[in-house]
Amino acid sequence: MSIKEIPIILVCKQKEKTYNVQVNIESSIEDLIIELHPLLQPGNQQQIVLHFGNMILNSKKQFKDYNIVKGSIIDIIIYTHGGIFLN
Amino acid sequence: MYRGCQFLQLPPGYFSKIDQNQGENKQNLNLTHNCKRHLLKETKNTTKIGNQFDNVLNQHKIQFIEINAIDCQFDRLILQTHIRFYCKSDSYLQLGLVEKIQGKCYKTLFDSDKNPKFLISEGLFTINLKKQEYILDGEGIKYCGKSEFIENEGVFIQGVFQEPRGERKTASQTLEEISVPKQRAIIIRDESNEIIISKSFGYDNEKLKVDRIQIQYNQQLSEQDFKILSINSKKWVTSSLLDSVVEYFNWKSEIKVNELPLKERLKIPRVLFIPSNVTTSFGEYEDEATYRKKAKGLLQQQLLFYKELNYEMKQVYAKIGFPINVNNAHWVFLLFDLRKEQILLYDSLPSTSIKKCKPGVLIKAIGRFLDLNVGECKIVNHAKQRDSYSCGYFVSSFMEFEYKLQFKQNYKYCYDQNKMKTKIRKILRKA
Repeated sequence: MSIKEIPIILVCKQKEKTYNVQVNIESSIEDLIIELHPLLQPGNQQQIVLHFGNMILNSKKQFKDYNIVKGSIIDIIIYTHGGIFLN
Repeated sequence: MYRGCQFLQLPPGYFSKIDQNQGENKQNLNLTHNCKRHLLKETKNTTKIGNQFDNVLNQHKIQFIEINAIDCQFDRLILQTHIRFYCKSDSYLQLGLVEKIQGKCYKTLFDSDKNPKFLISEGLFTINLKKQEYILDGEGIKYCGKSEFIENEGVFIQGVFQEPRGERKTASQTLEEISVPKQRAIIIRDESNEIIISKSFGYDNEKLKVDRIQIQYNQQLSEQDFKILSINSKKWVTSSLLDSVVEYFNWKSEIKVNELPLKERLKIPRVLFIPSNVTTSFGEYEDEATYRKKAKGLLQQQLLFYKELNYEMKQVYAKIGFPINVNNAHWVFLLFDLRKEQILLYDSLPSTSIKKCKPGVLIKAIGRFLDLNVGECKIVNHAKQRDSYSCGYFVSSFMEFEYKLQFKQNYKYCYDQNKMKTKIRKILRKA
């Protein structure tokens, strides 16, 4: 079976990081998010999500479910949380 | 202006309604773009056409703004529910029942979970103002999502892009790039193109997988998020929950405002909330110029629908509110009152006793973007948290307060944590 791979650009503005990524369009979004965890180290309580054109990508879906093409820029968002300022 | 088609071919019967009106029996219509321009020129007394369009807008009781920006190609902004339509009033053309105009349409559609789908298109539109329909019908551009990247450029008929002949891809051509029979893999390179991760999947990071998720209000919500909202929970509020509240109030405001009669609608001091991920993405402060530039870029991306207004937000909104995450430990709510030229910082911390403070780098960066030069920031601290987890609920209640102030200007603030939790649960269940 032929499987298509495409290069995309991932940008995490919060951490000033840019990655060139080659993904298989049949990979799930979650597969990529898992790979980003050691790179971005968001902490136990935080989640990483991906946005494309300001729309969140469902981590249970595949890249082919979205209109993501060669060279698409995807934003990495790290969820935050807060209760009280401890300092 | 647009690349691609200089020749506009319309299908037989396309102008059938006009044909009927005009008693013409044409089977085929071939209009060149130049012809259409000529037609416009012939009928054009620009001021007259501009006035004619304003009359049409007034007749339908449609809210619009006159744009005076020098470098803007459009002179009117129509505000309708989840629609911002910029147009050139002097390009308005009424052909029987069909109305056409040059413009740019920003539209947001929502699915049943209130997740947005952004549609941005520019060019020649067939419009139906009353039905809030703006359909590309002629030369135009369709953009990818909420971005300035072009998806299609050329001729559209009734909103459908007409692929130029000979450029249609065959099935085999669509798989032209890297077509290899192999297992699923991801290769991540850094900016210098060094491979930092190259992986085929064995799933050794199963624990990082989130079992069940829901996508609502453009946020990913896990079971953990919903547990936070249980009455006895003392867990910190996450940005996904708070940003769901942001999206909910923005969505509801837009609907509620547009349900009002025009006269009342014009009086509403509208508020727009910005999701926390925008300010979180400002990142670490290095130097003022870099920080300000980054903030500007992110705000421009978030407020792309107002690019043609040169981001002069006060033409549409009276207030812009930002839930702000402080060091991944605390939530505050920042409000820019564009009409009163005030900056209010809602902070629930009991230790905050001062009433005013000098704006920090984040406030300065947003203030400059919003063209609001205020030397001080007023701290609103009448509601104080008595625990170590509830600042997120306070911020939600501040947003609810500002949302309600739009419609009831003597509305009094009150805080009830359990009510707020229930409200958020209800918001998410509703979606």
